[in-house]
Amino acid sequence: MKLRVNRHELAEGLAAVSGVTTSRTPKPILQCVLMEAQGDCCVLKATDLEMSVSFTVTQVEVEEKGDILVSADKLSQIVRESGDETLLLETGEGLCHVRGQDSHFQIYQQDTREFPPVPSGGGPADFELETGELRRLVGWTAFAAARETSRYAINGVLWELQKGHLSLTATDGRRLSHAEGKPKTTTDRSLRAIIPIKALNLFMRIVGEAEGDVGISVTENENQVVLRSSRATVTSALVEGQFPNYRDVIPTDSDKQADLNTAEFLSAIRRAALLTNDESRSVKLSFQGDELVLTGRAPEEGEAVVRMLAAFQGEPLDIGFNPVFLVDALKVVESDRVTLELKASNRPGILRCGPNMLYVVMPLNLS
Amino acid sequence: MSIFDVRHQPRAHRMIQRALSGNRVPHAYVFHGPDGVGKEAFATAFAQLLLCPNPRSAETDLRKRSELADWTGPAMDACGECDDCRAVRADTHPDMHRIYRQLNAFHPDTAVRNRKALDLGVDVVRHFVIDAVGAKPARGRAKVFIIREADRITTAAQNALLKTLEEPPATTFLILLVSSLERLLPTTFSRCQLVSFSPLPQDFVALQLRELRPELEDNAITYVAQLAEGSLGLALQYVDDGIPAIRDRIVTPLERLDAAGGSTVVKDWMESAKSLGAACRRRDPEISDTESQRQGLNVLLALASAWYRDRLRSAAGKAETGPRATLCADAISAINTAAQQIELNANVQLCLEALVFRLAWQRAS
Amino acid sequence: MEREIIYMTVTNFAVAVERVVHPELRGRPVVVAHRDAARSIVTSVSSEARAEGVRPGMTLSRAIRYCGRAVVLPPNESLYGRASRAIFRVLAGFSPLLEPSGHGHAYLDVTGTGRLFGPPRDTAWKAQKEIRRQLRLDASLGIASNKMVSRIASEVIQPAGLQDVPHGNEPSFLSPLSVRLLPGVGPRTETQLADLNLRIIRDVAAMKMEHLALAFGRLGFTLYQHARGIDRTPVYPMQAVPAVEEAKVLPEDSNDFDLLQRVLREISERAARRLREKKQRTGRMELCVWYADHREGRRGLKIAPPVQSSTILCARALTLLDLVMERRTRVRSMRLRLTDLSAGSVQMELFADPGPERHTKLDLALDTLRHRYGDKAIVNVA
Repeated sequence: MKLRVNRHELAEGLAAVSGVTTSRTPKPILQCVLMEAQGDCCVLKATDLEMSVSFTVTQVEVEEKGDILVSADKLSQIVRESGDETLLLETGEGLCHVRGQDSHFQIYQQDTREFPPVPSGGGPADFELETGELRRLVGWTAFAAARETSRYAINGVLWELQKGHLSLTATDGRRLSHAEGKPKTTTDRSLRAIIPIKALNLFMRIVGEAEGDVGISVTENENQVVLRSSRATVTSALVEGQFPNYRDVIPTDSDKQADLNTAEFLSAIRRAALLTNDESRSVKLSFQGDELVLTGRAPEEGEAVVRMLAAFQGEPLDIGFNPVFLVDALKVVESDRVTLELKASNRPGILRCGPNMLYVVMPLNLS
Repeated sequence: MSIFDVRHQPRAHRMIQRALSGNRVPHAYVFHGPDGVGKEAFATAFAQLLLCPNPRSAETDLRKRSELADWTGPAMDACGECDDCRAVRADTHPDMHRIYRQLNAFHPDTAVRNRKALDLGVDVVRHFVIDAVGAKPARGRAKVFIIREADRITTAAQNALLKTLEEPPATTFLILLVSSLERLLPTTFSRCQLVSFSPLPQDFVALQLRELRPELEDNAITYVAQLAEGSLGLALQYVDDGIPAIRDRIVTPLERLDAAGGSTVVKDWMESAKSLGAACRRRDPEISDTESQRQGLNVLLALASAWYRDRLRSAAGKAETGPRATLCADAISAINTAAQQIELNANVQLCLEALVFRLAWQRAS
Repeated sequence: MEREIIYMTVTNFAVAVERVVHPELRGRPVVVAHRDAARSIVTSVSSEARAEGVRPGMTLSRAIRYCGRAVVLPPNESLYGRASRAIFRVLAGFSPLLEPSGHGHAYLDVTGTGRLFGPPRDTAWKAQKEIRRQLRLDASLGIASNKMVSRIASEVIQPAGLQDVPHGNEPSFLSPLSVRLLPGVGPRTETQLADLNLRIIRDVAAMKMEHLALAFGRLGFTLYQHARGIDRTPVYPMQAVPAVEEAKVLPEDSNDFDLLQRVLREISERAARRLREKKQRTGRMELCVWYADHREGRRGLKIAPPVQSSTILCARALTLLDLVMERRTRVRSMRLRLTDLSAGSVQMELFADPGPERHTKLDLALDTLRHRYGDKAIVNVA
């Protein structure tokens, strides 16, 4: 293999794939990046066996087609530290040569045949989304997913596609966020897949703002998801298990409703939460008439009371929430106003922003 | 490799083929039997068979092998040519997870990494088995976990694993490799299909040794094959530790053992045990000083015992059985007693002294 | 700066408190012990009974043999606890540096309170008067420059009175007293000292430290200091750690596991009820078991998320009992201590089972019943 490549482009590609190469693995070959020179581009591939990335580097002059498998870490460092505009990569006698104007590096190559097969993710996508729409949907849900619990199924975001209608749901057992969206194109296929948070985060990081549409597909055997933009492909094993039946826990009988200014509400919760501690992480919301009073209390530290205007309809109500749960959601709300629907102090509340996004949060038991 | 390359384990072969043909492969297996008789090779080949997208019926000559001679059902084997088979061979298949105690060196938690890997602890089991079970297979067909030295899984880790063993996702298979069932909790192995592996025939071990270590002389091969008691792994280990060379140093003094020379023999043996222990240490750096010494002594006592067994056999051949045969038998039982005592943490020096003087006294009387 | 320490003690506290409640017992020999158990142990003795040879720690049958006319009262721990807390409240009015040392005994550091209450002797007198006025209990108080001397001072003037040991007079105050009064000197050490012909504190004070160390090891050094009236341990104020504690002395020493479980269930039930009264939850429990041979065993565990339910507390306490009971010796008493209290706000689960909520309802219903009809109105027999 022999190719000339723009250094910035290569650095960007290596940064993208380094998200899956880890320094700690019993299989050293997983610390490597595979470069495939073909036509007028070069594809970088890396995998940690659960998740694989491939990234297409353009602005490449391929003089001789072929593959190289080298340590991702070493190659990244060389590329990062180099000052050249273009680099020449070449293979020969088990070595990979990297030449700049004033430098020549030789890195030992690994046997490309031993590199684990990286799923190609070829074939048409099951549906396509605009990048902005994907960002909105994932942003509204990913934060609510559980981290490292033993109930695997909730360590990911549930994606459901039915009759051209897409919805994403995530929960950690105490709160649940749900967003609905419209794919740009779709097939007839009905899908239900739990995508790991790690894969979503990695893909969101790689996908540039400017890129157009992304294609998403699930393999035939429903084990793998392929997330593809024009330059990057992330494939990942789906999460095993049964996602809890979330539709049952979205209340439909709320009879009280508050219309709140998002920024004011967020600031009020943050201030009231200043005087709570790990032991009693609870902010009490008291709705009465047009006023909302937020109270935070830390034993042996003090008490905070914050008041704000709220268009509230219904019987007066006191309800306690973990402020972190509310702040998490309000941080990603893009609209100016949110509504909070409530029923009783021991029943879940629903935070809505717009018709397509809702967030169910379980209160704290104020005994 | 083909699953039929694992020889002389007819029970295992039959059990697996029966499960495959009935399409009822249990999700958890315990392979038990002595070390070095092919448990891990068989488990790997079985994993390859489970992961291969186009398994095929084995060729007739493979079938005719003694171990499946009376088996009439279909005999399946991995194709050996697809991506999956190749990845299993290269040990990089994303759905084949090999679990062993030294994996703690790759755990995300520093505290776990810095621990000595004497046992297969709960952190390693949680991270590398239980959490990994939570993801679907990366390539589709199945996920296979091969747990080496599963008798070293701590009780806490076994308890953590119970739920996974009981109801793993449909495509997940766990294979626990143990040399004895004693250290597994009953709750663990009662959730698994037990497959027992037996020692290999001595001439098969010799044949394999000749192939794998061509530089070895014939009499050394015969000797080691006999000493290893049906374990190819142990035989290779003996060869690599230089047992054929060390042998004379240990058994020659037995020829003319007397009470006067006893203490020199003990000293000599202690030295040899130390160097044998060092060899064990090289293979497994995690083991403690006492443990490596113990393992070295085990080898040494096995050598001595083999020497007496040899004597016994030749004595029996000469038809004039009598005092010499009983003497050898007594010596062997004395050596066994010493080995047991050392296993129970008796003082090594005293044990050896007692043994050597007993042997010398037997000779004299 | 010289310290001013007051030690307050109410002689035969349990008996004294019982006599406040039952004035008819005054002047009669009284012992406190479980009445209806064969091998019951006497825990407190009135001076009249003491005069006839009865001592705390004796079996009840032996005590009755010594003093047949003694009135036997069952121990009433909660009464003693209340009385004791009331006394401490009085004392805390004089200084916040109060260190309780069991029911009815406490150290009080009044250093620098002269401007407020006058010299320490006056303070002690005021405290004594106040305790008598509010609680009708007679306390004896020792005043000295350290804890040890103040304690010994209070002991020499029992049953009631004031003893002031002025600064610098500690050695001369101690010198004629028996070595038995020194802390750390039990019957065995006393015999050892007597073997060396050291019977009163002056004898010990005359010894060189090397010689004491030779005979008694580490204890020798402490003896040397104490005999000279030196003790530097500070007064530790009451722990600020909020906790709920419930304890019970078994009717008689026992290693019957069923009985121990029953007692523990009763204790944890009471503790859980107090938690609910305080509207708090506990995140940690510790079980302490005292054996008949005065050894103790303790084990603790974390409870996450925090709970207040009787059912859960009982279950966890019983698992602790399994862990604690490593010996076959009979058990004398048990104590369950709940800490890491949090003001009960608990995150509810979206997909949770309704179990915990049912427990809460049951607990509250039982609490109401017991409140109205008494503790024994309804008991758990499982």
